[in-house]
Amino acid sequence: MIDELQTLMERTPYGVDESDKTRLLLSGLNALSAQHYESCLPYREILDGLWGGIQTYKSIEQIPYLPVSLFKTQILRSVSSEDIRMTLTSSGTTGQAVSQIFVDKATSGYQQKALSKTLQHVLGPKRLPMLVLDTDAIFKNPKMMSARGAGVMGLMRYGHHHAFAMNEALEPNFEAVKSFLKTYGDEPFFMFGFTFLVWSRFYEAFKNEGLNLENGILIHSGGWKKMIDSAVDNTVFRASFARDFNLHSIYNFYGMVEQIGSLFLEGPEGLLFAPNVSDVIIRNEVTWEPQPIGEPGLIQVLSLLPHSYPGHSLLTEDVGVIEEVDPGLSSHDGKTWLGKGIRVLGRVKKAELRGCSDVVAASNSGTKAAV
Amino acid sequence: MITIYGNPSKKLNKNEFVKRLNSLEYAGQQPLHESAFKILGALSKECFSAPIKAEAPQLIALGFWLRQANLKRIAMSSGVDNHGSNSEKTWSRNCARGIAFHLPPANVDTLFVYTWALSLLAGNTNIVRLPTTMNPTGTWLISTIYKILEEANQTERNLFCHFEKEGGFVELISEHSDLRMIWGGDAKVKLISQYPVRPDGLSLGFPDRHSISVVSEAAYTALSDTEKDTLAEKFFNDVFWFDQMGCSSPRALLWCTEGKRIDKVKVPEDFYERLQKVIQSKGYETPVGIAIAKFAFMNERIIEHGANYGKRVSNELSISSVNQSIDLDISKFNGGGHLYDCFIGGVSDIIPLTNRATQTISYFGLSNKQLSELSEGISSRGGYRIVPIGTALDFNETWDGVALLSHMCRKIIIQSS
Repeated sequence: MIDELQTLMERTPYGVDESDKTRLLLSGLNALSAQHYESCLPYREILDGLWGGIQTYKSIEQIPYLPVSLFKTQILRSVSSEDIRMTLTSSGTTGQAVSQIFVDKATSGYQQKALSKTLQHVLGPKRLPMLVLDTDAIFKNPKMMSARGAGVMGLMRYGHHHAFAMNEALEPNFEAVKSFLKTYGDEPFFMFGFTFLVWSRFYEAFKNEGLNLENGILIHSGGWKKMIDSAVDNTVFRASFARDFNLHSIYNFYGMVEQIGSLFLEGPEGLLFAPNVSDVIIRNEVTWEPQPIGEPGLIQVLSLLPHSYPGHSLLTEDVGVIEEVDPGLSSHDGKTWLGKGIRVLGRVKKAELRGCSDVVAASNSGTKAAV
Repeated sequence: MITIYGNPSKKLNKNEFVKRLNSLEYAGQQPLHESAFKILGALSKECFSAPIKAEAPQLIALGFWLRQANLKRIAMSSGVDNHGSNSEKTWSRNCARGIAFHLPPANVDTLFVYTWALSLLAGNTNIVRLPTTMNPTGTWLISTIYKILEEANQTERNLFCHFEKEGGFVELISEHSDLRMIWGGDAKVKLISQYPVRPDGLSLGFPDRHSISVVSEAAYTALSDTEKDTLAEKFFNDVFWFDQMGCSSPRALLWCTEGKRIDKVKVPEDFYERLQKVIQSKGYETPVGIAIAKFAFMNERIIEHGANYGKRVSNELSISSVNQSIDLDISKFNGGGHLYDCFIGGVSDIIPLTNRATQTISYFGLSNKQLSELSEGISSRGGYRIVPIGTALDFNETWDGVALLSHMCRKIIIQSS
């Protein structure tokens, strides 16, 4: 692995101030860009065709970025296919192409280690008993996993004595939960789930069971979009869990399969903080130039983890804003948070161009039009 | 259910609509009847004074096309005029075909008017299927047309309707149709063509088409700054009206060098800079979601070797440069302001790029000799219009190579004894 990644992983999670991090990341991203330029032909062609060729970049804002959707339509890998250990796919709505992320053994190791370090920041150094707020039925073929299955399996590594709160039909498994809490509920324990399921299948199902989760640490992700109809946002979520479960240690996170292992964990003010091995740039929606702090725009994510595929600098389709940098000690959880903290504001609106046909053409996924 | 536009609109079930279909008057209608000119003349006036015309330049274009002078010109040159004196032994009388079924496209909001207007002139009784969602321009048009038809007592012969594609209405109406105009791409033409029109009816399909632009480098370079800006503005209209999603919208710009050595970076750069200025001055904005899609598309083209270089000028404008014109594949396309840019030696280089899907070749700076050479070379390959930049989107009564008005009529041959 590149040296800069090693260095950043050995430092305290969220303990690297931004100027220090930027220096290391810039060096690391330059090294990774050069590496991918050598080993990934499509990446090289893109850099030559769109970016004027490979250079030594003077700031992280200059590092070329790929649009995240490119992983849906192209095979992008920097190692031979025999070296690929896992192909991760993103979840997608029906009919949509999914991203394909090619992970070799080394990259998989880096991803796991980075994730472990990040989680230790909120879980502590010991492996904790884990209550998974999902069903164990989502593990199928380990070679080709969906983001949800991979996400759960990936995080299960950081807990033990796993129990699952739901059955295959996502119905509450009261037995399993109560038994788990009886055994482990008096000491710190770890809970993980996807935000929408955590709310609709755990909170809603268990809220009247009188469960005491005061020793629990909940980590969840998935966005608030699906809960707009129920008018649940971070504030309502936290208040509800506090009131009905006595649960106060809650950490949302932002991440994507294209940079798996780089988790933006929730710190003070509900902001999501870039871990040691990652950073974020916000780009103005019109000019695509970097925005000053406090101004919203397109989220670009950078990470030193992707070694087997050129995913180290990606322009996402999410909109966000950097609100804090290096806030330091948080009164909220007593932990220190350094680095950039962002607020994710939502997805870029999916505008469509009207094509000729007012018949839905089955073969053409590009221009869907109104009938 | 089928909804027939009106004041108020009427909803009919299939059986009720069958009765309505059977009662449609089409017998005895004459082509080029004064009443048709009156109706379209009134519509032309309305277009010029439409409250929404500022946001809808295509309404002005429509208004111009519907002017009496233009319609009379079309009528005279179409060969359907019955007013010539016939002193020969054999002569013909033009007449309407009967019932015409129009299925306009979703992407060009004024097109349903052109197809209907020509058919009205032909004397046909018309059924126009409107898209389920109409933008403000379309909505204004349909209500204005209906008002005019009401005053002219022609609402019974001109039905504008909405219906779902399931429900069998396409099949039903087609069965009764003497003429059917299917606009809207390969998939739609194929789908609708499954349903036969009357055995002696005519069904015309207007499938997927794409278009390009050609500029003579020498002619461009010789222009003054102001003239270059004017050309950029004309090109803006061709590209950005309908968000580059019309069949006639150019997808590529070919620079014709005539073998001269030119600066392949500076010349296009100069033009695109001016185009970007026009985009800004018009306040035309592309949503960032589409800008991102275009950016991804440019990346893909490079990986797939469909382009050599790409440049994002703005959210509105992206350019993919192709080194060899033979590699140009405009069937791979992302609208909303993406152009392929390429150099050719002469107009003959356009010929191998032309196929049945090619519709409009808009140009600047080509001589009549070059236009002749081009039209001869593409003959039977494809390509139906070779027109100046700025007029790419103009509707012409000969469309995709078909003289529409004459095809919308029939002839009776009369022999005197």
